[in-house]
Amino acid sequence: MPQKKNPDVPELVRGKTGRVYGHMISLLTLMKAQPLAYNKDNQEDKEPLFDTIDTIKGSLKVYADMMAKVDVKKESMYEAAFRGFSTATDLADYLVRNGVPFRDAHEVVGKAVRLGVESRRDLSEMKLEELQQFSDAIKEDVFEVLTLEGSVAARNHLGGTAPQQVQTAATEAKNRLLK
Amino acid sequence: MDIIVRREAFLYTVRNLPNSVLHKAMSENKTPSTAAEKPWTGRFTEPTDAFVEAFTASVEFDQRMYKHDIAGSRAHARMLTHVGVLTADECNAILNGLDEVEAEIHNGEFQWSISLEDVHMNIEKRLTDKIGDAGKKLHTGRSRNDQVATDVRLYLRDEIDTIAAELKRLQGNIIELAEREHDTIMPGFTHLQTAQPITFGHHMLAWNEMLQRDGERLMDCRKRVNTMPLGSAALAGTTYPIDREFTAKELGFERICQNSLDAVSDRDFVIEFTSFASLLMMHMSRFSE
Repeated sequence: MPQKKNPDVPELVRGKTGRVYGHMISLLTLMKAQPLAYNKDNQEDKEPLFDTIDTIKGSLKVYADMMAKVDVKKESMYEAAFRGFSTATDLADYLVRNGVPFRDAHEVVGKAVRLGVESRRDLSEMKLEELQQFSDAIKEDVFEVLTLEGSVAARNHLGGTAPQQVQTAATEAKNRLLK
Repeated sequence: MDIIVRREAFLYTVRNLPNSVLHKAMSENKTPSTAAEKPWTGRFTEPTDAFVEAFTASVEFDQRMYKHDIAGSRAHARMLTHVGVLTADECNAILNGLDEVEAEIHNGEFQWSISLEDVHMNIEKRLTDKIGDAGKKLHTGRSRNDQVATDVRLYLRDEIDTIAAELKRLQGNIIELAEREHDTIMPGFTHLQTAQPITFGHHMLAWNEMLQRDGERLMDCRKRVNTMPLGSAALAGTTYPIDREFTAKELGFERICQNSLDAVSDRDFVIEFTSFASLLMMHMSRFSE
């Protein structure tokens, strides 16, 4: 099919996982009933080991080469994130910060999302008055948390997804690699 | 690579054996090799059945450990000389002979023989053909049982180091990508549904965390792989005045197996390695989704 570009490499790596599990199981089974000391059974340890080594070396090599060439389609990913009401939690958190009990906030957001689904719009694309019909705790500053950039930047703590944290985590990860 | 090619050729041969050698061997029950060729025939009065010989041989796959088998033999010969079992001349003959055998194998000139069963006997026979009686003394105080356990550990130790380096290269490339895309936004999923926006860098670093733990597991496994069984002989040790510390130092083993019965028989270090490999593949398989 001329229109297709198949992800053969990751699919093959995924497929090869089974044979490595199989080798582990065959080795566990190989040992389980052997009395002390050496028995000829042990000769069967080599082929599973060798194939495991070949398989993981090949998989690591192909993945290391592939990662060096990853080209990210930023617009497509942004669009996908934008179209899934992914900032709904941020609206709930915003309401809670403004004194709305969490369960009530959850319901408010549910109603806002339903309006979004019906009118095919993201929460950030609605007018302030439209959002305020669900809760008067919503003010003009709500749009700061409804953007994707605002949402990720707000998760700015150790282990969080904020760009600033990612930079710190990447530096730390590099330091660990050198150890 | 040439070993792999030859292995393929062997497998091809074996698959075709029922119509040729094996069929003939099974009906005639005679061996194509002479009894005198095998160094362990003393106890046997009849030649080995050719089918059984091919069935029990391991040389077609264990030959990939030839460098480690020779390294183990070099260390063993030096130790035997150190404790006075071999003379310096015998030791030199063995070391030079092993160099030649290694070069022959490396250059693809070595004739592997199924009737010699395994990598150990093939190398020892060739050595003895080259240097005579000194070659026959190499196996003093040693058994193929502790020899093969040593070979596998030396071989696996080398492979672990190669794998660890390749794993780090993969991690390095992932981290670089994460840095480059630290503020690129993508959907984060739970239950296969868009849940919250995340950064692509964060997503990549999640895979790095898993691979980091895999690497730690590998290095932990290496400690137990890097323990020397040599000196355990067949199962109970040996009557010769061996110096296991000497051999361990020669071969770079961090520790020495403390019980000869355990040393020659358990393969838990191989299972431990395949369990590391299974977790690594499980992570890479998730990564492939």
